[in-house]
Amino acid sequence: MKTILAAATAWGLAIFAGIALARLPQLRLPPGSRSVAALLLGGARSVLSDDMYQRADLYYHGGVAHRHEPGGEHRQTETPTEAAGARGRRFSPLSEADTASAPHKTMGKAAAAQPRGYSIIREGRRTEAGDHEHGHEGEETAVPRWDLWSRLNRRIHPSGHRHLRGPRYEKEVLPWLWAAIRCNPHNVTAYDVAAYWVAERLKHPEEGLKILAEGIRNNPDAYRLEFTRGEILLHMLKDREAAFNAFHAAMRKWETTYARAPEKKKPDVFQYGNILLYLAVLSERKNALEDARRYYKAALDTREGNARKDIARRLAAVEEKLGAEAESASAPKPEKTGG
Amino acid sequence: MRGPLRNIAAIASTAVLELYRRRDVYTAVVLAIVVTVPLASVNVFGVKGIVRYLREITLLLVWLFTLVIGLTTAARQIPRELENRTIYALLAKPLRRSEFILGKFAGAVAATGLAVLLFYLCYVVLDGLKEGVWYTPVLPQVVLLHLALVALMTALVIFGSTFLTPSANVTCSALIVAGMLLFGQKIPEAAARAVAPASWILWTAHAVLPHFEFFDLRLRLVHGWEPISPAVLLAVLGYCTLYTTALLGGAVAIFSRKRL
Amino acid sequence: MPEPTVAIEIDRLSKVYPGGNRALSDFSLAVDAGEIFGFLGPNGAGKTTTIKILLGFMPPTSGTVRVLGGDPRLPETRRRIGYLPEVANYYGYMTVDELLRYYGRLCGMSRDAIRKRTDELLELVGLADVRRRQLKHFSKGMLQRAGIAQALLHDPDLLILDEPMTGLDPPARLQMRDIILRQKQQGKTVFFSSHELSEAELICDRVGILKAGCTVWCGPTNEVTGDGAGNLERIFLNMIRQNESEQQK
Ligand SMILES: Nc1ncnc2c1ncn2[C@@H]1O[C@H](COP(=O)(O)OP(=O)(O)OP(=O)(O)O)[C@@H](O)[C@H]1O
Ligand SMILES: [Mg+2]
Repeated sequence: MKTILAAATAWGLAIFAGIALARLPQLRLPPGSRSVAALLLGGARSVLSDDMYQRADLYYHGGVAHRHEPGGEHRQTETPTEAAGARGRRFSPLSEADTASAPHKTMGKAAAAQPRGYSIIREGRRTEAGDHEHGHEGEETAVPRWDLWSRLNRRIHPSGHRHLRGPRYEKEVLPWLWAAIRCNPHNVTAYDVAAYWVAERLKHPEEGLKILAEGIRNNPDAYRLEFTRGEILLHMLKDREAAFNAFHAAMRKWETTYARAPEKKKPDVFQYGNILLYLAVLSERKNALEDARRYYKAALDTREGNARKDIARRLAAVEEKLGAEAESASAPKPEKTGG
Repeated sequence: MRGPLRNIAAIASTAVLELYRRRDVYTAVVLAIVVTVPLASVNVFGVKGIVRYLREITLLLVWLFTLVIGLTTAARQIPRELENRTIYALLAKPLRRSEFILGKFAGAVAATGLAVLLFYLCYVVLDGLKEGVWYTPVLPQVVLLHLALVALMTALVIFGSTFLTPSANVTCSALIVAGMLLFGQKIPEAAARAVAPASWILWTAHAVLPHFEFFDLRLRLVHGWEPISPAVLLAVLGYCTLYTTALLGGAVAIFSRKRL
Repeated sequence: MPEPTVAIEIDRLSKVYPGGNRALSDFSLAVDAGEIFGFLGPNGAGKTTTIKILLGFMPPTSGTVRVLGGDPRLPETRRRIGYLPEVANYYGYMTVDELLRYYGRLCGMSRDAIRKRTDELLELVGLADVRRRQLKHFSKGMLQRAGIAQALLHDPDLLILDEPMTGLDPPARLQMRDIILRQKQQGKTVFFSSHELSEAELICDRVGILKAGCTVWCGPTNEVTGDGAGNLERIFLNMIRQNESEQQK
C-alpha cells in the first residue's frame, strides 16, 4: 500500500507540476529574467525540453526510433525525401522567385554538409495527399536464425519506417513540441519546428506566427525564428512587405549573433545565405535592383559549386537589368520592367 | 469442483478479497484519472483532436500502476503467511503444498488481472471520449498480453519468494521486469558489442531471463500500428505458458521441501 | 481400517535445526486414542518443535512419527486433525465468518455444513456478536478464540493445541477446559502443550514432561495428584531441578 501510494504520488506530483507550469503562461517572465520553469527545474529543464523534442521526432516516425548518424552506415535507410530536405528548410529562396514551394534540387548536397538535425524538420515536402501513415514494417537488419527471442521481438515490435502524413496524424507531434517549449522557453528549435508544423503542415499560419512571436519575445536574438516568420508570411500569407521585414530582421540578428561571438561558433553561413537570397529575390520583385544586387553579392560567398553558379547567374541578370535601367534613365522615356 | 481445484480457488479468492479490501486499487485508479483528465484537456496551440500523447501517458500510468500493484500483491502472498504464522493453521488443513503455491499464484494473478481490466476500462473511456473511437483491433491483444505478463511476473515473484527474503525478492523481480521491459530488445545488440566475459553474461541473460518486452504492445496501440499476427500472438502466449509453468514448478519443488 | 488405539506415536525422534541447535534428542512418546494428554515443559523444551513435526511442517532429523495411524505429511491424515498454532495473526482483512468459511472450504466441507458449524462454534467461543468485524480489530484473546473455532471446525478426531490457554481471560479458560473435556466425551483425542500445570492437572488423563528435548516424566495425572502434597507443580519443578543437577555433574 505504502509503496503504491509513494510511487503514485511521485508520479502524480511530477505530472501535476508539469501541467501547472504549462498552464501558467502568464507567469513566464519577461526575457532575460528566469522563468518559473527555470526556477523549479534548474538545469534539468533543457535536458527535459530536448527529450520532449526528440519525442516529437519519435512520434513523427510512428513511435519507432531511428538513428541519424552523420555519414554512418544507417544513412541508406533514410528516404530520399529526407536526404533531399535541407535541414528543415522546405522552401527554397531561389525557386521562390518562380513557384510557390518546389524544393530546390541543389539543396540536397548542401544539406549533406550541414550538421544533421532531427528528421522531423529535415523531412520536407508533402509528396502525397490525404491523411495516412505511410511506411512499412519489419525493416530487417541481420538477426541470427537461432536467436528466436530477437526474431520474435522483431515481429512483435514495429520496426519499420513510417511517417505521419496529413493533418489528422501530423498534429500528433505537437504536444511534445508544446511541452518542449514549456519546459524550456529558450529552445529555439522547438519554437521553430512547432511554428512550421502548425503553419505549413496543419495550415494554421496565424497560429504559427503566434508561436513565433512568443519565441521571439523569449529569444530576441534568434534569427532562425525571424527567418521562419518571413517564410510563413511570404509563402502562406503572401505578405511580401512583412516577409521582407522579417528576413531583414533575421539578417541583422544573424550578423549581431556572430559579431558578438565570432570565434566561439562556426557561423551558420548556409542559413545566412538563405536569408540573403530571400532578401535578394524580394528586392528584385520590388524592383529595388540595387538592393538585390547587394544581397546577391553577399550571398555569393555563402554557397559553393552549382548553387554558387546559380546565384552568379541571377546576379548577372540583375546587373544586366541595372545596366538597361541606367541606359533607359539616360533615354527620354523610362519604363518599368520586371516584377 | 474437485479437491485440488477447490482448494486452489479457495486460496485464490482470499488474495482477491484482500486486494479489494485494502483499497490500493481504487486509490491508483483515482490517481490515474486525476492525472490524465487534465492532460486530456490541455490546449496545444489551439489544435483539436490530438490523441496519441494522451494514449501514451495514460498507458504509461496503467502499466506503472499495474506493475506496482502486481509486484507487491504477488510478493506479499507467501511472506505474509509466514510472518503472521497463518501458514501453520493453513497447512494443517488437508491441503497440498503445491495447491497452496498454485492458489497463491492464481489469487495474485486474478487480483492484479481485475485491476488491469479496470485500468483498461478507464483507458478506453478516456480515449473514447477524447477521440470518439472506442475500439481498435490492437486493443484486445494489448490487454491479453498484459494479462499474460501479469501471470509471468506473478510466477517469477512467487518463485522468488520461496527462497529469497521478501525485500530481496521484490528488488530482484522489479529489476528483471523493468530491465527487460526497457532493454530486453537491446540485449543481443549490446552482447554483440561487448567483450568476452560481459558478452557471455549478456547472451546468457538474453537466453534465460523472461522476456517481458514480448508482452508490451503499447507502441502499436499508441501509434495505430496494425495488430500482430495470430501466429506471433500464439507464440508469445506459448512462451508465457511454458515459462510460467517452469517457474511454478520450481516454486512447488522448493516449497514442498521447505522446513516451516 | 480399524480405528488405531494409539493416536500419536513418536519413536526416537531427533531434531537438529540448521545451525546445530538440538531441539529434540531421541524422544519417544505414545498418546492413546480418546485420552487428553498434557504436553508440559519449560520454555525452549521442544514442545512446539514436536508439534510441528507431528503436523508435517518439517521433517525430523531422525526417528518417525505416526498420527492417527498415518503419515501427517499426507492431506488425508491431516483431514482428521484439528490444530491450534501457538501464535497466529489471522488475516486482518477477513471477518471471523469469512475465516471459518475459508478454512471450511479447505477442509472440503459443504457450504451448509460450514454455515451450521460456524454458528455453533462462534456461539461456543463467544464470538457470535463480532462475527462481522474484521479480524484486524480483534484483541489477542479474541484471535485465540477464533483460532480455537478454526481448529474445531471440521470436527477432527485429534486436536493438537499449542498452548491453548495463552491470552485467554479466566472465563474463557473455563470454556476452553470445557471444550477439551467435551471432546473427550465425544471420543476424540486431545494433545495440548502448556506451561499451565494447574490446568493440566485438572483435565489431563496423562501428562508428559519434556526437558531439553527428552521426556523426563510421563504418566497418569492421578499418580502425581493422588496425595495432595505431591501435586504436579512440585513434581514438575523437582524433575527439572533434578535434571539440572544431573547435568551439572
Ligand atoms: N527455527 C528454529 N531454528 C533454530 N532453532 C530453533 C527454531 N525453532 C526453535 N528452535 C530451538 O529449538 C528449541 C525448542 O524450541 P520450541 O519452540 O520447540 O520450544 P517450546 O517448548 O515450544 O518453548 P515455549 O514454551 O517457549 O513455546 C529451542 O532451543 C529453540 O531455540
Ligand atoms: Mg512453544
